[in-house]
Amino acid sequence: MAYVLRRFGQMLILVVIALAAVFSTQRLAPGGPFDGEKPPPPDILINLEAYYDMDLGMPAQFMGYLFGMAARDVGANGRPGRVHWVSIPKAAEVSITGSLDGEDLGETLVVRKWCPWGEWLRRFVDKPVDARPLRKCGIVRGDFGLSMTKRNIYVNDYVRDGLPGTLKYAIPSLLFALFLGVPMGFVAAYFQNTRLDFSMVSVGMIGTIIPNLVMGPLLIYLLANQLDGFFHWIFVDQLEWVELSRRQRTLNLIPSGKSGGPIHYLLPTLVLGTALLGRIVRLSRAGALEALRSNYVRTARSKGLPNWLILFRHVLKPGILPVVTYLGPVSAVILTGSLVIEFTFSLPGLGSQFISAATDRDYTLLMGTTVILLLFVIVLNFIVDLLYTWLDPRIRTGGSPT
Amino acid sequence: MSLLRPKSTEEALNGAFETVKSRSLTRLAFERFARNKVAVVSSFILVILVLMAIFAPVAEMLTGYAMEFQDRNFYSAKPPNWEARHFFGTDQNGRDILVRVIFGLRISMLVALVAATVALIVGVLYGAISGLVGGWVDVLMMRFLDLLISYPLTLIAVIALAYFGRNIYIVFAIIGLVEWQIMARVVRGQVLSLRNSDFIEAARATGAPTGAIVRRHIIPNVIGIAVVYLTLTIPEVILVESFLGFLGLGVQEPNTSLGVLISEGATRVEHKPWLVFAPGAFLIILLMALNFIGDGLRDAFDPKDR
Repeated sequence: MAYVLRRFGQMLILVVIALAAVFSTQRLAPGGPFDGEKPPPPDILINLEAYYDMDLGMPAQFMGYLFGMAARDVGANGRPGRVHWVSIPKAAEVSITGSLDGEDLGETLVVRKWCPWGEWLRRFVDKPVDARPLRKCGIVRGDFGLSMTKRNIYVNDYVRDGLPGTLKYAIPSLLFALFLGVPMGFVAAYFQNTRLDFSMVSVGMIGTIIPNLVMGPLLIYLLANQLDGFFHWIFVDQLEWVELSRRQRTLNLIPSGKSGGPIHYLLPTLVLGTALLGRIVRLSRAGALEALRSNYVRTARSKGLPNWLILFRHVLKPGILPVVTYLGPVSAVILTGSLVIEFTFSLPGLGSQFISAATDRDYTLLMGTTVILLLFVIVLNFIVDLLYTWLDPRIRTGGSPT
Repeated sequence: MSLLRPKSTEEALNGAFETVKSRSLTRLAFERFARNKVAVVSSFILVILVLMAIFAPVAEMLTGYAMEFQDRNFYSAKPPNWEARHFFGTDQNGRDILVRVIFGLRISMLVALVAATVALIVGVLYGAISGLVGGWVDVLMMRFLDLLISYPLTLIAVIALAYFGRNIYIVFAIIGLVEWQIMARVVRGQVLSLRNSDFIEAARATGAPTGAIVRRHIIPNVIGIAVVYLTLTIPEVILVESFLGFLGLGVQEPNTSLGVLISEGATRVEHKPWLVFAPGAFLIILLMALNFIGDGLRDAFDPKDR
């Protein structure tokens, strides 16, 4: 338990360090979210900067970003705003009047409920939650703020729209790699140094040798183009089933925007999964070999246990251990891989938002997507650590892991 | 029977000195490397690729198309045409793909070399300081490294490139800063095992100053393993570079790299597959050759094998 708590603390420190690094680099770097081709007039720039708290010092901005900030008056046309404190209203919708575009003083921004679980969290916080009428709950309370280049769109909404697109292919590909790779590794270990062993390892290696940015186009070419051409050749040219519509004639493998049948999962999953497969096969092979050579397996053999029982009871757990340690780095591989498949298949997802936010200098959107992607990696690492302690008793009892 | 006749000590010693010639560690490693056929073939391929990259303008001469030349007759990505000497076809703007791939190879290799050197310097310094100083500094530095290893530095590289990516030297540095952790860890391990080894203790016992021990004993022994891991870092760095190029970051026009070329072809592969084939094949061959060489070198230098 102490171990879990310590790991959790490390995790939090890591997130905060990463946030501070991203926060400071983006604000120190040349360029800003508001200087596009036509920069806004200076009065409005002052208002905009006040609106996003960019007129404050950087530590204050960062603390405000983390923990929420006192409400401030936006200020009108060059006049600096006053700072005053407001508590979160109960209503789901709040309207404020502001003057962001200079001329139109009466513009009303209708703001939806900005802090999804603020009410719930308030039970745990003694003092009343103070917030500026716009956002400013801080990411501690699950509020990532307002996007800077896309007016009036919350980063939370962006993340909510983008995250499923990213995870949609990550989980099936991980399952694919695990449920194919581990048995392949075990078979290779069991038939060590035979032709079967060699072929298993080399099939696994294909994905490691071909980087996924080549694998995507290659699979599109092989499966979506050539295989479809082959089916077309069989059904239309040979069997003369010309009455088939084009939709029926093609496998329609390439995922397109919204319509996502189960067959659309095939290509992205293969691209992501094969990248992981090679390592998983090699690791599980090594783990299983070590277990197969161990004394307890020899004992089990000499007792006359059947092979399948030995494999399941004595070889499975130690054989999986190296794979489990690899699952931590896997999260980073999946992350970069999902950026690649989002580009190759033009899928909507968090990765493309992340990159466009970085190139547009959209500070809040970039911070929000970074936090989410980091959390994905770090939480997965955390889970892997827990899993490892659960699987390997040497850690629990305080011994060192090999 | 001469075999049964007991030899005198002198005779035996003479025999031993005649047959056993002293061979240095490096020489042994090279012999072992030369026996590894895959690694040797890979080194030949790598040499060819490096020569192609160095003499990239020769490709312009052979095909007759400059890298920037837009062939009017071959606009909007035409397939390979041997009569017109577009051996790998043309891209969207009618530029010859073969020439562009070779120039892209050049940039990729350049980035890889410089970035791997950055990674080497950072990793060796980090590992050496951590190993040599020891104590709480070591604990702290290793804890930090543990945190970094489970951390997608590529994301930070994406951000940094989006902000500072105009300058190619900054691109080098940023990519180099992604891949140094393994190097640091390996160097630290080597330094630690050297520190506790007998010959260092002997050197210390003879009263050699610390600076001399580091210079004479530690640095030469770390260099070998650092070079081995450098060759293993280079393919990683090339991959990171082409990944970033694929996402449209990093190397900018008119320069190009393998990743940029692949990303140009990736979205059109359904109808124009040749756009992606040449750069993809070159990338795969390059990565494979480098990986096999790195593995071969590691096996050759690995003391466990002896």
